[in-house]
Amino acid sequence: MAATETDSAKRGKTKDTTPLVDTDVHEGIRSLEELLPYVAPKWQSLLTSPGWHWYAPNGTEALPYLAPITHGRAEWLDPDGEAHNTDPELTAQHLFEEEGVSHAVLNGFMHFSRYKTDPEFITAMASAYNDWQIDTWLEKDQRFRGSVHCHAQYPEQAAREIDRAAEHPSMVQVFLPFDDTRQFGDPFYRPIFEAAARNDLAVSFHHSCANKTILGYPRYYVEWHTLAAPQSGMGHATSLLFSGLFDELPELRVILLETGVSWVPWLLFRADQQYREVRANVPWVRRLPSEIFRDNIRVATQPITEVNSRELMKIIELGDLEKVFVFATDYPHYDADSADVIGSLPDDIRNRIRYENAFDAFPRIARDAA
Amino acid sequence: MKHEVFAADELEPGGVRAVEVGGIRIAVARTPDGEFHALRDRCSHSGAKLSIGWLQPFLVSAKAGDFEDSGKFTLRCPWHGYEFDLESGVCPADPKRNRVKVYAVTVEDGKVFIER
Repeated sequence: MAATETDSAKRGKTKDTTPLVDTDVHEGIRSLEELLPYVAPKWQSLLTSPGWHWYAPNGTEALPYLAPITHGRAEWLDPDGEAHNTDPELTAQHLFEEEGVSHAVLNGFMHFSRYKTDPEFITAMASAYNDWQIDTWLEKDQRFRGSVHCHAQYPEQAAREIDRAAEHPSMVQVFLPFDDTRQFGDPFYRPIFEAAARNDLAVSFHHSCANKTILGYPRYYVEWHTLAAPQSGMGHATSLLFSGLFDELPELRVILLETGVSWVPWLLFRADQQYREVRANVPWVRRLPSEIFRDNIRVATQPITEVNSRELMKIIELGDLEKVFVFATDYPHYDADSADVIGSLPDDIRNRIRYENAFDAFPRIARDAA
Repeated sequence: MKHEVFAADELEPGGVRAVEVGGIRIAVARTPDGEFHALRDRCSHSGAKLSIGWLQPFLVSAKAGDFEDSGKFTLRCPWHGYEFDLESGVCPADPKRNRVKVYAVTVEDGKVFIER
């Protein structure tokens, strides 16, 4: 029997009244022409045909697979099959009323750092998107919290944009894609992390359609969706752990989105093993990487359904991960999680995942909630 | 109690060798500048004989990308490369879980003595 709005509302309305921070919400933009008021006249023609439309028709990279499933959760699609994520009021209804979310962190779909050409225009686009996000979402409902987008390949400019956009009190993080130009532990990117830290922002990472697996694009979507995000997350997390970044910026929190949960113990065991054996390779690292990970890296739970609650508890115990996981729906995607999936966890762990770990990661949210 | 183990000139600076004192295997290392150190000859990780490992400068760093010579040496395990501080026996990468016992060493009249 097909799910109905009523089913969805019932499922989301848990009795749990504690905060629920959703760290991965994808707001949409109906048309990039909505950005026109936010870009300088010199760039406006590039937002209309032909300009950007040759470059990336929907403003995002295309997934090179036949879609084997609907794009979004059935209750969140309109009759044409399009997600309702371009309407802040509908999204608010879905998340805040039906799913019990208290704070929704917007990540969008715009991965500006992945574009390799036209850097000045892309930088302007990121800035415009930030202003559009503020006007369209953050100013409409304070339960939405924002991401500062930037062009990471130009770190000094990106840092200036972070300082500028962070002036809005609802901005809580810097958003970066799992780009493969350089590993994010490269000192090249330090100005971005420094800007995030000095503004009390977290840094979140998310994959895009352009992320390949270690073997490239596999033959089928199911293989790509198995590997691309976690492999990218592991790669950049490893780079950050061995980079000395968190010794320089101990208050900084990095969040890995949509990589799932079950790989985490493996990486910690493996990184510790390597560090014990070849510490002298990275003498600036002064602690086991697993300790650094637990203090500074957070992992969003979605898709948490790769395990059940009992298995999740084993994973948490195995990796000593009480402080690591933060809740995410991945709204509006088909494999979105509702908070019910963590409903049967022990109270202390459930609260860690619902909000305590997120409050640690997002100082601005914690401050508002205090 | 002090035990004479070998003549000092039987171990070249930079070398490591095994001795047995009261049924316990001990690795004796001599740093390039001539200091003697003695550690239990059994890696706390997998049990390898540290006496067939090697001495290596203990590298430290103030910031990423810098490799600085601390002036100290570590004894590295021959199997997985774990480092052990010659003075404390602590593995600097994992001090909570990996350390080996160290023994006092003295050199008297050209002879090496281990306290045990």
